[in-house]
Amino acid sequence: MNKLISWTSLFLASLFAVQSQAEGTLAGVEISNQASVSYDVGGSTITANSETVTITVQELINVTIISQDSGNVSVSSPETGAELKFQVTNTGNGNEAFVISQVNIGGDEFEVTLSTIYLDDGDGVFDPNVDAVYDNSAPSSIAPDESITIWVTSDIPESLNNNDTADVQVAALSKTFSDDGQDNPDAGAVVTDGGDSTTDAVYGTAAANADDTATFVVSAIQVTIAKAISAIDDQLGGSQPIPGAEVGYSLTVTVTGTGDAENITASDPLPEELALKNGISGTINVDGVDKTAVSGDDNASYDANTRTITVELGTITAGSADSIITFTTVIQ
Amino acid sequence: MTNIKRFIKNTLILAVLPALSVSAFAQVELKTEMYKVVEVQKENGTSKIEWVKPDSITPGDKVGYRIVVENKGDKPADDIVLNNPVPENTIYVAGSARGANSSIVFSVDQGKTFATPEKLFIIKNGKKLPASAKDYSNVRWVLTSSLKAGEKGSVQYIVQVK
Repeated sequence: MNKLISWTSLFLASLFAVQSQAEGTLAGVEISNQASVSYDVGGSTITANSETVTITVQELINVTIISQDSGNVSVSSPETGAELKFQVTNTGNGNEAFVISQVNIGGDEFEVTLSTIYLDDGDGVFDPNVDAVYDNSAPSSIAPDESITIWVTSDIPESLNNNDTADVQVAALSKTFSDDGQDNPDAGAVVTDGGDSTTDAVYGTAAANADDTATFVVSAIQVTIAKAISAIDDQLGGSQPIPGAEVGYSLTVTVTGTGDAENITASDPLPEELALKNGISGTINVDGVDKTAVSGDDNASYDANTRTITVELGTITAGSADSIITFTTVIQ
Repeated sequence: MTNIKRFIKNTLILAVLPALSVSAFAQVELKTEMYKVVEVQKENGTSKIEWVKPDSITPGDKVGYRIVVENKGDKPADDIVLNNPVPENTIYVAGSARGANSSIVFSVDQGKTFATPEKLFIIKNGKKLPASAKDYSNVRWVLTSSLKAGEKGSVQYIVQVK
Protein backbone atom coordinates (compact mmCIF):
# COMPACT_ATOMS: atom_id res chain seq x y z
CA MET A 1 0.00 0.00 0.00
CA ASN A 2 2.78 2.42 0.84
CA LYS A 3 4.73 2.03 -2.33
CA LEU A 4 3.29 5.13 -3.93
CA ILE A 5 5.14 7.56 -1.72
CA SER A 6 7.97 6.32 0.36
CA TRP A 7 11.00 8.02 1.70
CA THR A 8 14.40 7.30 2.92
CA SER A 9 15.85 8.43 6.19
CA LEU A 10 19.44 8.19 5.05
CA PHE A 11 21.12 11.50 5.36
CA LEU A 12 24.60 12.64 4.65
CA ALA A 13 26.78 13.55 7.56
CA SER A 14 27.78 16.62 5.61
CA LEU A 15 24.38 18.07 6.41
CA PHE A 16 25.74 18.47 9.89
CA ALA A 17 28.66 20.69 9.09
CA VAL A 18 29.21 22.99 12.02
CA GLN A 19 27.56 26.32 11.50
CA SER A 20 28.66 29.23 13.59
CA GLN A 21 25.84 30.98 15.42
CA ALA A 22 26.83 34.27 16.94
CA GLU A 23 23.54 34.99 18.57
CA GLY A 24 20.67 33.20 16.91
CA THR A 25 16.93 33.24 17.35
CA LEU A 26 16.10 34.60 20.78
CA ALA A 27 14.91 32.27 23.52
CA GLY A 28 11.11 32.11 23.68
CA VAL A 29 10.51 32.71 19.96
CA GLU A 30 8.02 30.26 18.48
CA ILE A 31 8.71 28.53 15.18
CA SER A 32 5.42 27.59 13.53
CA ASN A 33 4.89 25.38 10.51
CA GLN A 34 1.80 24.52 8.49
CA ALA A 35 1.78 22.44 5.33
CA SER A 36 -0.89 22.55 2.66
CA VAL A 37 -1.98 20.25 -0.12
CA SER A 38 -3.94 20.63 -3.30
CA TYR A 39 -5.30 17.74 -5.34
CA ASP A 40 -7.82 16.91 -8.01
CA VAL A 41 -10.65 14.51 -7.70
CA GLY A 42 -13.33 14.03 -10.25
CA GLY A 43 -12.19 17.11 -12.13
CA SER A 44 -12.34 19.56 -9.23
CA THR A 45 -9.40 20.92 -7.25
CA ILE A 46 -9.48 20.71 -3.48
CA THR A 47 -7.08 22.22 -0.96
CA ALA A 48 -6.42 21.33 2.66
CA ASN A 49 -4.05 22.36 5.42
CA SER A 50 -2.31 20.48 8.16
CA GLU A 51 -2.59 21.66 11.73
CA THR A 52 0.07 24.19 12.70
CA VAL A 53 2.90 22.68 14.67
CA THR A 54 4.98 24.93 16.91
CA ILE A 55 8.34 24.68 18.58
CA THR A 56 9.53 27.21 21.15
CA VAL A 57 13.21 28.07 20.87
CA GLN A 58 14.92 27.38 24.20
CA GLU A 59 17.74 29.38 25.74
CA LEU A 60 21.17 28.29 24.61
CA ILE A 61 23.86 29.15 27.14
CA ASN A 62 27.11 30.07 25.42
CA VAL A 63 29.89 32.39 26.45
CA THR A 64 33.38 33.31 25.37
CA ILE A 65 36.07 34.82 27.55
CA ILE A 66 39.13 36.29 25.88
CA SER A 67 42.30 37.83 27.32
CA GLN A 68 42.65 41.44 26.20
CA ASP A 69 46.32 41.78 27.13
CA SER A 70 48.72 41.75 24.22
CA GLY A 71 51.37 39.27 25.28
CA ASN A 72 52.64 38.71 28.78
CA VAL A 73 51.83 41.26 31.45
CA SER A 74 54.93 42.69 33.17
CA VAL A 75 54.85 42.80 36.95
CA SER A 76 57.24 43.57 39.78
CA SER A 77 58.17 41.25 42.60
CA PRO A 78 56.42 41.88 44.88
CA GLU A 79 53.39 43.69 43.51
CA THR A 80 49.89 44.10 44.90
CA GLY A 81 46.82 44.06 42.69
CA ALA A 82 48.43 43.39 39.31
CA GLU A 83 45.60 43.27 36.79
CA LEU A 84 44.71 41.12 33.80
CA LYS A 85 42.05 42.26 31.34
CA PHE A 86 39.42 39.91 29.93
CA GLN A 87 36.36 40.33 27.76
CA VAL A 88 33.31 38.19 28.51
CA THR A 89 30.78 37.87 25.66
CA ASN A 90 27.35 36.29 25.91
CA THR A 91 27.13 34.25 22.69
CA GLY A 92 23.86 32.60 23.69
CA ASN A 93 20.34 33.64 22.66
CA GLY A 94 19.06 34.92 26.00
CA ASN A 95 20.02 37.18 28.87
CA GLU A 96 22.48 35.45 31.14
CA ALA A 97 24.80 36.30 34.00
CA PHE A 98 28.11 34.57 34.57
CA VAL A 99 30.09 33.61 37.63
CA ILE A 100 33.76 34.43 37.07
CA SER A 101 36.48 32.28 38.60
CA GLN A 102 40.26 32.49 38.47
CA VAL A 103 42.77 29.77 39.08
CA ASN A 104 46.55 29.36 39.05
CA ILE A 105 47.75 27.07 36.29
CA GLY A 106 50.66 24.77 37.09
CA GLY A 107 53.82 24.23 35.07
CA ASP A 108 55.09 27.78 35.43
CA GLU A 109 57.63 29.38 37.79
CA PHE A 110 55.35 30.84 40.44
CA GLU A 111 51.81 31.08 41.71
CA VAL A 112 50.05 34.35 42.31
CA THR A 113 47.68 35.12 45.17
CA LEU A 114 44.35 35.52 43.45
CA SER A 115 42.64 38.72 44.48
CA THR A 116 39.63 40.82 43.54
CA ILE A 117 37.78 40.79 40.20
CA TYR A 118 36.50 44.16 38.98
CA LEU A 119 33.88 45.08 36.37
CA ASP A 120 35.15 47.78 34.04
CA ASP A 121 32.98 50.89 34.06
CA GLY A 122 33.16 51.15 30.28
CA ASP A 123 36.30 53.20 29.72
CA GLY A 124 38.59 50.18 29.37
CA VAL A 125 40.99 51.65 31.93
CA PHE A 126 41.56 49.88 35.22
CA ASP A 127 40.81 52.01 38.24
CA PRO A 128 39.98 50.09 41.43
CA ASN A 129 38.51 53.28 42.90
CA VAL A 130 36.01 53.60 40.06
CA ASP A 131 35.49 50.11 38.66
CA ALA A 132 33.07 48.13 40.85
CA VAL A 133 34.03 44.84 42.42
CA TYR A 134 32.50 42.04 40.33
CA ASP A 135 29.77 40.53 42.44
CA ASN A 136 29.80 36.80 41.81
CA SER A 137 26.83 36.28 44.12
CA ALA A 138 24.62 38.55 42.00
CA PRO A 139 26.35 39.32 38.70
CA SER A 140 24.44 41.50 36.24
CA SER A 141 23.10 39.66 33.23
CA ILE A 142 24.55 40.28 29.80
CA ALA A 143 22.25 40.62 26.79
CA PRO A 144 22.80 38.25 23.83
CA ASP A 145 25.89 39.21 21.82
CA GLU A 146 26.88 41.85 24.37
CA SER A 147 30.21 41.94 26.21
CA ILE A 148 31.63 43.13 29.48
CA THR A 149 35.25 43.84 30.36
CA ILE A 150 36.58 42.54 33.65
CA TRP A 151 39.82 43.06 35.52
CA VAL A 152 41.21 40.10 37.38
CA THR A 153 43.75 41.17 39.98
CA SER A 154 46.46 39.14 41.65
CA ASP A 155 49.19 39.75 44.19
CA ILE A 156 52.69 38.86 43.01
CA PRO A 157 55.00 37.27 45.63
CA GLU A 158 58.38 38.74 46.55
CA SER A 159 61.86 37.43 45.75
CA LEU A 160 61.02 36.19 42.26
CA ASN A 161 63.58 36.05 39.49
CA ASN A 162 63.53 38.14 36.38
CA ASN A 163 61.41 36.61 33.59
CA ASP A 164 59.62 34.20 35.93
CA THR A 165 56.10 33.61 34.66
CA ALA A 166 52.75 32.67 36.15
CA ASP A 167 49.70 31.58 34.19
CA VAL A 168 46.27 32.54 35.46
CA GLN A 169 43.17 30.97 33.97
CA VAL A 170 39.89 32.83 34.12
CA ALA A 171 36.61 31.04 33.47
CA ALA A 172 32.97 32.06 33.14
CA LEU A 173 30.18 29.75 34.29
CA SER A 174 26.50 30.36 33.58
CA LYS A 175 24.83 31.57 36.78
CA THR A 176 21.74 29.58 35.88
CA PHE A 177 23.75 26.36 35.96
CA SER A 178 25.77 27.47 38.97
CA ASP A 179 22.56 28.15 40.92
CA ASP A 180 21.28 24.73 39.85
CA GLY A 181 24.37 23.08 41.34
CA GLN A 182 25.77 22.14 37.93
CA ASP A 183 29.31 23.48 38.19
CA ASN A 184 30.74 21.49 35.28
CA PRO A 185 27.86 20.78 32.93
CA ASP A 186 28.21 18.84 29.72
CA ALA A 187 27.04 20.31 26.43
CA GLY A 188 23.33 19.68 26.19
CA ALA A 189 22.76 19.75 29.96
CA VAL A 190 19.46 21.41 30.86
CA VAL A 191 18.08 23.56 33.65
CA THR A 192 14.31 23.23 33.33
CA ASP A 193 12.61 26.64 33.18
CA GLY A 194 16.04 28.23 33.68
CA GLY A 195 15.91 30.28 30.47
CA ASP A 196 14.24 33.53 29.41
CA SER A 197 10.45 33.45 28.88
CA THR A 198 10.14 30.21 30.90
CA THR A 199 12.20 28.31 28.39
CA ASP A 200 14.72 25.72 29.48
CA ALA A 201 18.38 26.70 29.69
CA VAL A 202 20.49 24.40 27.51
CA TYR A 203 24.27 24.31 27.94
CA GLY A 204 26.00 24.95 24.63
CA THR A 205 29.18 23.48 23.26
CA ALA A 206 30.99 26.83 23.30
CA ALA A 207 30.20 27.28 26.98
CA ALA A 208 32.30 24.23 27.78
CA ASN A 209 35.37 26.14 26.64
CA ALA A 210 34.56 29.41 28.33
CA ASP A 211 37.96 30.13 29.75
CA ASP A 212 41.19 31.78 28.76
CA THR A 213 44.65 32.08 30.22
CA ALA A 214 46.93 35.09 30.59
CA THR A 215 50.50 35.22 31.80
CA PHE A 216 52.33 37.46 34.24
CA VAL A 217 56.05 37.87 33.69
CA VAL A 218 58.37 39.33 36.30
CA SER A 219 60.16 42.23 34.77
CA ALA A 220 63.40 43.27 36.44
CA ILE A 221 62.58 46.90 36.12
CA GLN A 222 59.30 48.73 36.33
CA VAL A 223 58.69 52.39 35.74
CA THR A 224 55.44 53.84 36.99
CA ILE A 225 54.10 57.36 37.02
CA ALA A 226 51.38 58.73 39.26
CA LYS A 227 49.67 62.09 39.03
CA ALA A 228 48.05 64.00 41.86
CA ILE A 229 46.64 67.44 42.56
CA SER A 230 48.70 69.08 45.28
CA ALA A 231 46.70 72.29 45.81
CA ILE A 232 44.00 74.51 44.34
CA ASP A 233 44.13 78.25 44.94
CA ASP A 234 41.19 80.17 43.48
CA GLN A 235 42.98 83.51 44.13
CA LEU A 236 39.96 84.55 46.22
CA GLY A 237 41.12 82.99 49.45
CA GLY A 238 39.48 79.64 48.73
CA SER A 239 40.07 76.45 46.79
CA GLN A 240 37.29 76.41 44.20
CA PRO A 241 38.32 75.12 40.75
CA ILE A 242 37.02 78.17 38.90
CA PRO A 243 38.50 79.98 35.88
CA GLY A 244 41.63 81.76 36.99
CA ALA A 245 42.27 79.34 39.85
CA GLU A 246 45.76 77.89 40.15
CA VAL A 247 45.99 74.13 40.34
CA GLY A 248 49.21 72.49 41.48
CA TYR A 249 50.07 69.05 40.18
CA SER A 250 52.71 66.52 41.08
CA LEU A 251 53.99 63.66 38.98
CA THR A 252 55.76 60.88 40.84
CA VAL A 253 58.00 58.57 38.80
CA THR A 254 58.95 55.33 40.55
CA VAL A 255 61.44 52.77 39.32
CA THR A 256 61.30 49.36 41.01
CA GLY A 257 62.99 46.03 40.45
CA THR A 258 66.67 45.71 39.61
CA GLY A 259 68.93 47.41 37.07
CA ASP A 260 68.79 50.76 35.30
CA ALA A 261 65.93 52.23 33.30
CA GLU A 262 67.35 54.41 30.55
CA ASN A 263 66.03 57.42 28.68
CA ILE A 264 63.05 57.93 30.94
CA THR A 265 60.87 60.77 29.73
CA ALA A 266 57.85 61.95 31.68
CA SER A 267 55.30 63.85 29.65
CA ASP A 268 51.93 65.26 30.64
CA PRO A 269 49.61 66.69 27.98
CA LEU A 270 47.31 69.11 29.82
CA PRO A 271 43.64 69.27 28.86
CA GLU A 272 42.34 72.34 27.01
CA GLU A 273 40.96 73.75 30.24
CA LEU A 274 44.44 74.09 31.71
CA ALA A 275 47.67 75.90 30.84
CA LEU A 276 51.00 76.08 32.64
CA LYS A 277 51.13 79.18 34.83
CA ASN A 278 53.04 81.89 32.90
CA GLY A 279 53.31 79.61 29.85
CA ILE A 280 56.81 79.19 28.49
CA SER A 281 57.94 81.86 30.98
CA GLY A 282 56.84 79.60 33.81
CA THR A 283 58.72 76.99 35.79
CA ILE A 284 58.62 73.24 36.28
CA ASN A 285 60.06 71.89 39.51
CA VAL A 286 62.03 68.65 39.23
CA ASP A 287 63.11 67.06 42.52
CA GLY A 288 63.01 70.42 44.31
CA VAL A 289 64.80 72.43 41.61
CA ASP A 290 62.90 74.96 39.48
CA LYS A 291 63.54 74.51 35.76
CA THR A 292 62.48 76.90 33.02
CA ALA A 293 59.61 75.99 30.76
CA VAL A 294 61.66 77.01 27.75
CA SER A 295 62.85 74.14 25.64
CA GLY A 296 66.55 73.35 25.22
CA ASP A 297 68.17 74.92 28.28
CA ASP A 298 67.49 72.16 30.78
CA ASN A 299 65.70 68.84 31.11
CA ALA A 300 62.19 70.38 31.48
CA SER A 301 60.05 72.14 28.89
CA TYR A 302 56.51 73.20 28.05
CA ASP A 303 54.94 73.26 24.58
CA ALA A 304 52.27 75.97 24.63
CA ASN A 305 50.63 74.64 21.47
CA THR A 306 50.03 71.12 22.72
CA ARG A 307 50.04 72.21 26.40
CA THR A 308 52.45 69.36 27.05
CA ILE A 309 54.94 69.27 29.90
CA THR A 310 58.00 67.14 29.18
CA VAL A 311 60.78 66.20 31.57
CA GLU A 312 63.81 64.16 30.53
CA LEU A 313 64.74 62.09 33.57
CA GLY A 314 67.54 60.16 31.90
CA THR A 315 68.71 56.96 33.56
CA ILE A 316 67.27 55.93 36.89
CA THR A 317 68.51 52.97 38.92
CA ALA A 318 65.79 50.74 40.32
CA GLY A 319 65.15 51.44 43.96
CA SER A 320 66.28 55.07 43.73
CA ALA A 321 64.19 57.70 45.42
CA ASP A 322 61.11 58.68 43.46
CA SER A 323 61.48 61.53 40.97
CA ILE A 324 58.91 64.18 41.77
CA ILE A 325 57.85 66.78 39.22
CA THR A 326 55.61 69.63 40.34
CA PHE A 327 54.13 72.51 38.41
CA THR A 328 51.29 74.99 38.68
CA THR A 329 48.55 75.37 36.08
CA VAL A 330 45.82 77.95 35.60
CA ILE A 331 42.23 77.06 34.78
CA GLN A 332 41.33 78.79 31.50
CA MET B 1 1.11 0.78 -12.55
CA THR B 2 -0.97 -0.77 -15.23
CA ASN B 3 -4.67 -0.34 -15.60
CA ILE B 4 -5.16 -4.02 -14.91
CA LYS B 5 -3.37 -3.76 -11.57
CA ARG B 6 -5.32 -0.67 -10.62
CA PHE B 7 -8.51 -2.45 -11.57
CA ILE B 8 -7.62 -5.40 -9.40
CA LYS B 9 -6.69 -3.19 -6.43
CA ASN B 10 -9.86 -1.11 -6.67
CA THR B 11 -11.91 -4.24 -6.95
CA LEU B 12 -10.27 -5.64 -3.86
CA ILE B 13 -10.97 -2.50 -1.84
CA LEU B 14 -14.55 -2.46 -3.03
CA ALA B 15 -14.88 -6.07 -2.08
CA VAL B 16 -13.52 -5.53 1.42
CA LEU B 17 -15.28 -2.27 2.11
CA PRO B 18 -18.50 -2.30 0.12
CA ALA B 19 -20.25 0.20 2.43
CA LEU B 20 -17.81 3.02 1.58
CA SER B 21 -18.37 2.76 -2.14
CA VAL B 22 -21.66 4.60 -1.78
CA SER B 23 -20.07 8.05 -1.30
CA ALA B 24 -17.60 8.91 -3.99
CA PHE B 25 -15.35 11.39 -2.15
CA ALA B 26 -11.58 11.73 -2.04
CA GLN B 27 -10.64 13.28 1.27
CA VAL B 28 -6.92 13.85 1.57
CA GLU B 29 -5.73 14.58 5.09
CA LEU B 30 -2.47 16.21 5.96
CA LYS B 31 -0.50 15.94 9.14
CA THR B 32 2.78 17.67 9.94
CA GLU B 33 5.10 15.96 12.40
CA MET B 34 8.22 17.59 13.80
CA TYR B 35 11.39 16.08 15.16
CA LYS B 36 14.80 17.09 16.41
CA VAL B 37 17.39 15.78 13.98
CA VAL B 38 20.47 14.60 15.87
CA GLU B 39 23.71 12.92 14.99
CA VAL B 40 24.24 9.99 17.33
CA GLN B 41 27.77 8.70 17.86
CA LYS B 42 27.99 4.94 17.78
CA GLU B 43 30.49 2.83 19.68
CA ASN B 44 32.36 1.83 16.53
CA GLY B 45 33.22 5.48 15.91
CA THR B 46 30.70 6.11 13.18
CA SER B 47 27.63 8.23 13.61
CA LYS B 48 24.07 8.06 12.39
CA ILE B 49 21.29 10.53 12.00
CA GLU B 50 18.19 10.08 14.13
CA TRP B 51 14.87 11.87 14.27
CA VAL B 52 13.87 12.21 17.91
CA LYS B 53 11.35 14.10 20.05
CA PRO B 54 11.79 17.86 19.53
CA ASP B 55 12.95 18.70 23.05
CA SER B 56 15.27 21.58 23.93
CA ILE B 57 15.48 23.14 20.48
CA THR B 58 18.07 25.92 20.45
CA PRO B 59 19.75 28.01 17.73
CA GLY B 60 21.83 25.83 15.44
CA ASP B 61 19.67 22.76 16.03
CA LYS B 62 18.10 20.95 13.09
CA VAL B 63 14.39 20.35 12.98
CA GLY B 64 12.93 17.72 10.67
CA TYR B 65 9.39 18.10 9.35
CA ARG B 66 7.55 15.07 8.03
CA ILE B 67 4.32 15.72 6.20
CA VAL B 68 2.07 12.68 6.16
CA VAL B 69 -0.59 12.65 3.47
CA GLU B 70 -3.43 10.15 3.55
CA ASN B 71 -6.34 9.63 1.23
CA LYS B 72 -9.23 8.88 3.54
CA GLY B 73 -11.77 9.03 0.76
CA ASP B 74 -12.76 6.31 -1.65
CA LYS B 75 -11.59 7.85 -4.89
CA PRO B 76 -8.05 8.41 -6.09
CA ALA B 77 -6.63 11.90 -5.61
CA ASP B 78 -4.72 13.15 -8.63
CA ASP B 79 -2.22 15.96 -9.19
CA ILE B 80 -1.28 16.16 -5.54
CA VAL B 81 0.89 19.16 -4.69
CA LEU B 82 2.27 19.56 -1.17
CA ASN B 83 3.41 22.97 -0.04
CA ASN B 84 5.37 24.05 2.99
CA PRO B 85 6.82 27.47 3.65
CA VAL B 86 10.21 27.31 5.36
CA PRO B 87 9.33 28.54 8.87
CA GLU B 88 10.51 31.94 10.05
CA ASN B 89 13.79 31.96 11.98
CA THR B 90 14.95 28.83 10.20
CA ILE B 91 16.89 28.07 7.05
CA TYR B 92 16.37 25.14 4.74
CA VAL B 93 19.15 22.53 4.96
CA ALA B 94 20.51 21.92 1.47
CA GLY B 95 19.62 18.55 0.03
CA SER B 96 17.32 17.56 2.89
CA ALA B 97 13.97 17.41 1.06
CA ARG B 98 12.83 13.86 0.33
CA GLY B 99 9.75 12.39 -1.29
CA ALA B 100 9.43 9.37 -3.53
CA ASN B 101 7.57 9.69 -6.81
CA SER B 102 7.67 13.45 -6.61
CA SER B 103 9.53 16.29 -8.15
CA ILE B 104 10.75 18.69 -5.50
CA VAL B 105 10.90 22.37 -6.32
CA PHE B 106 11.68 25.45 -4.28
CA SER B 107 10.75 29.10 -4.19
CA VAL B 108 12.89 32.12 -3.35
CA ASP B 109 9.99 34.59 -3.63
CA GLN B 110 7.58 33.49 -0.90
CA GLY B 111 5.88 30.93 -3.10
CA LYS B 112 5.11 33.03 -6.17
CA THR B 113 7.31 30.90 -8.44
CA PHE B 114 8.93 27.51 -8.04
CA ALA B 115 11.86 25.80 -9.75
CA THR B 116 14.52 23.18 -9.19
CA PRO B 117 17.64 24.43 -7.34
CA GLU B 118 19.80 25.00 -10.44
CA LYS B 119 17.13 27.26 -11.95
CA LEU B 120 16.73 29.50 -8.92
CA PHE B 121 18.33 32.91 -8.81
CA ILE B 122 18.32 35.85 -6.45
CA ILE B 123 19.09 39.50 -7.13
CA LYS B 124 21.78 40.87 -4.86
CA ASN B 125 23.26 44.35 -5.28
CA GLY B 126 21.70 44.45 -8.75
CA LYS B 127 23.38 41.19 -9.76
CA LYS B 128 21.64 37.95 -10.61
CA LEU B 129 23.23 35.21 -8.51
CA PRO B 130 22.48 31.49 -8.13
CA ALA B 131 20.27 30.98 -5.06
CA SER B 132 21.50 28.86 -2.20
CA ALA B 133 19.56 26.82 0.35
CA LYS B 134 19.40 29.70 2.81
CA ASP B 135 17.42 31.72 0.25
CA TYR B 136 14.61 29.17 -0.04
CA SER B 137 11.27 30.41 1.25
CA ASN B 138 9.06 27.46 0.27
CA VAL B 139 9.33 23.78 -0.54
CA ARG B 140 6.91 22.08 -2.90
CA TRP B 141 6.47 18.41 -3.74
CA VAL B 142 4.62 17.69 -7.00
CA LEU B 143 3.60 14.04 -6.83
CA THR B 144 3.93 12.15 -10.06
CA SER B 145 1.41 9.47 -9.11
CA SER B 146 -2.12 9.51 -7.81
CA LEU B 147 -2.86 8.68 -4.19
CA LYS B 148 -5.43 5.96 -4.17
CA ALA B 149 -8.21 5.62 -1.65
CA GLY B 150 -6.80 4.51 1.69
CA GLU B 151 -3.22 5.11 0.66
CA LYS B 152 -0.75 7.02 2.76
CA GLY B 153 2.65 8.53 2.09
CA SER B 154 4.99 11.12 3.41
CA VAL B 155 7.56 13.69 2.40
CA GLN B 156 10.07 15.45 4.59
CA TYR B 157 12.70 18.12 4.88
CA ILE B 158 15.03 19.62 7.46
CA VAL B 159 15.58 23.18 8.61
CA GLN B 160 18.19 24.66 10.90
CA VAL B 161 17.15 27.12 13.59
CA LYS B 162 18.87 30.46 13.06
